[in-house]
Amino acid sequence: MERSGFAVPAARGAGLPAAARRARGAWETRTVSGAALGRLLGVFVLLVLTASEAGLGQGPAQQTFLLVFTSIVVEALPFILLGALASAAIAVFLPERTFGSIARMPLALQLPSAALGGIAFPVCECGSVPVARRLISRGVHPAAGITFMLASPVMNPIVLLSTWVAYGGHERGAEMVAGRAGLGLITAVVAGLAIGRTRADDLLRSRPSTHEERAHDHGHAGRATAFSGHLVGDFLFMGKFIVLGAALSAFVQAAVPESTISALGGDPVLSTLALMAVAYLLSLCSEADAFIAASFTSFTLGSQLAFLVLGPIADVKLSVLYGATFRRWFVARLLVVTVPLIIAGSLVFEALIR
Amino acid sequence: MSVDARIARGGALAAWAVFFVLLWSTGTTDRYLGSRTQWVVPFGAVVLTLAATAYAYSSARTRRRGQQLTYREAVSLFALLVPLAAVLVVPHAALGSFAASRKSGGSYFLQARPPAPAKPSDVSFLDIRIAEGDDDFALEAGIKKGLRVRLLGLVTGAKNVPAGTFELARFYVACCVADAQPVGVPIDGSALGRRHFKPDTWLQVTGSLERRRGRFVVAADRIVPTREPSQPYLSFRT
Repeated sequence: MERSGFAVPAARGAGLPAAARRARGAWETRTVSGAALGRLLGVFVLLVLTASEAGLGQGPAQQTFLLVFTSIVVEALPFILLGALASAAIAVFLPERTFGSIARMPLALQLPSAALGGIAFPVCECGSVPVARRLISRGVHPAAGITFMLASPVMNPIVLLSTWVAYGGHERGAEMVAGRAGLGLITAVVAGLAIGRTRADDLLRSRPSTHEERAHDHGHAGRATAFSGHLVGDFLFMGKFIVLGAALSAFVQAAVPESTISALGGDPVLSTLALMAVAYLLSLCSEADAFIAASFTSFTLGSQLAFLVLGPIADVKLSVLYGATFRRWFVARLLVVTVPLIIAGSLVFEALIR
Repeated sequence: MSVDARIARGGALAAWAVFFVLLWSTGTTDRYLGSRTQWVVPFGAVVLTLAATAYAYSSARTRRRGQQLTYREAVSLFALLVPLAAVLVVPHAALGSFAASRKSGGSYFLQARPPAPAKPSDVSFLDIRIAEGDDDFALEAGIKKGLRVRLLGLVTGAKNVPAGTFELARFYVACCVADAQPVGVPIDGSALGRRHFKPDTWLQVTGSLERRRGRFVVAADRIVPTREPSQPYLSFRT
């Protein structure tokens, strides 16, 4: 059984006025009739046809937005699917005693194991979120779950290889790969320890489970039904947040010229902060971001390292995904812990390689 | 009568499965992804189809009624369909001169050294740009003054080109269009009496390379306006 208790807590929405609470309650519980669903579908199709006939989206800015938006979603959804597959397998096929024995391991052993787990789970950052959520909900220490989630997109061998290639192999490749893996690992462990020293219930956001998931929990359905229920539940739940995050990122790409930040390359701290802001806004896949980082030639290598370490840990689309998975404070605390650490690490790195 | 949520969930899943199958079967993946990540489309097509089928089968086998679809879930499922609607509204969207003005001019991919082209006449935009700053690569690829080249690209309207030239470029993609970068080469069409073309015009340019102030410029002896190719982006390979 899941330990996080995905029931909607009574206190949820307690700060809202009574009318808003009622509206919210109705929104969450009011069921859709067949006729209403037909009307919703009709309106959706009508909007699509009208937009198509009116030539909406044909302008250059709109085309750039739509293309970047859909390409991020097309690239990220299969990784979400991969994560959902792993998450469903963990939920259904791994016996409870496995998590019991992991949970009994000392944290000092759980953390490095979780950090190095990324080597065995080579997916981008989107895929690691549902897996981490599932691990934590099944009893793995929250600190270890967070460490795994943050380290796996950096420790991913494909990511390290692309970093090596982007930095010209023997020219700067070894330093940047070592810097990225080292600082990424340290940041993941420190963030795991700082944010994850809490109970799973206090970390994970409530999420109503589907009948199929609960059926498995209570042993009423076969494993195949439970597996498909978990898979579809996770995929659809995470998918809609990827759509929102991709829309925000595409908007930034269409609205803000990249040249606006290149003037900040002089000052080491300011330039590091600027590239971290770019990494956050662009929401690039960690398998491609090294090529982008390497292009910021007016910035120091330390600043480029900060770009490479922060991007897979926090960006616009991930923040939306984190917001759906963890409590509201998670993103703010993550940034408070990781940003100063990454700045310090990148300055040390810059001093070492100079 | 209220709707079983499993039907709506299965529908959303099936819509995405169909989209990935269509992307795969029509060969239009290049519009969204680079060669490095194109494997996600067949993977998504197969696994989503299997998942949708398994979900439908297990839902049909379960005799008891499932959860009812709430307005909240219905709206979130529609949100998941918005990217599909975007593709339907603008099926042939492509990056053009506007996107080129927002990107940093292809410098991203100039840092890495791709394999040299098999024949000097096969050189691409990226090869020419890398050769500008890398003599070893230029020697290996046979890129030098006087080399005959043929380039297919779009006019970006970029201002930072040598006097009397305009920029012809292609977008290079590593993982997905979000990381696409325009890589451009200046074209001198003065021998043909054509110095300027409207931005976003696709041209097939044939000419010889010249060296001007550290840059390779194509002195064009043939410029033919052409239609946008079916695959407007080039994949960045290492």
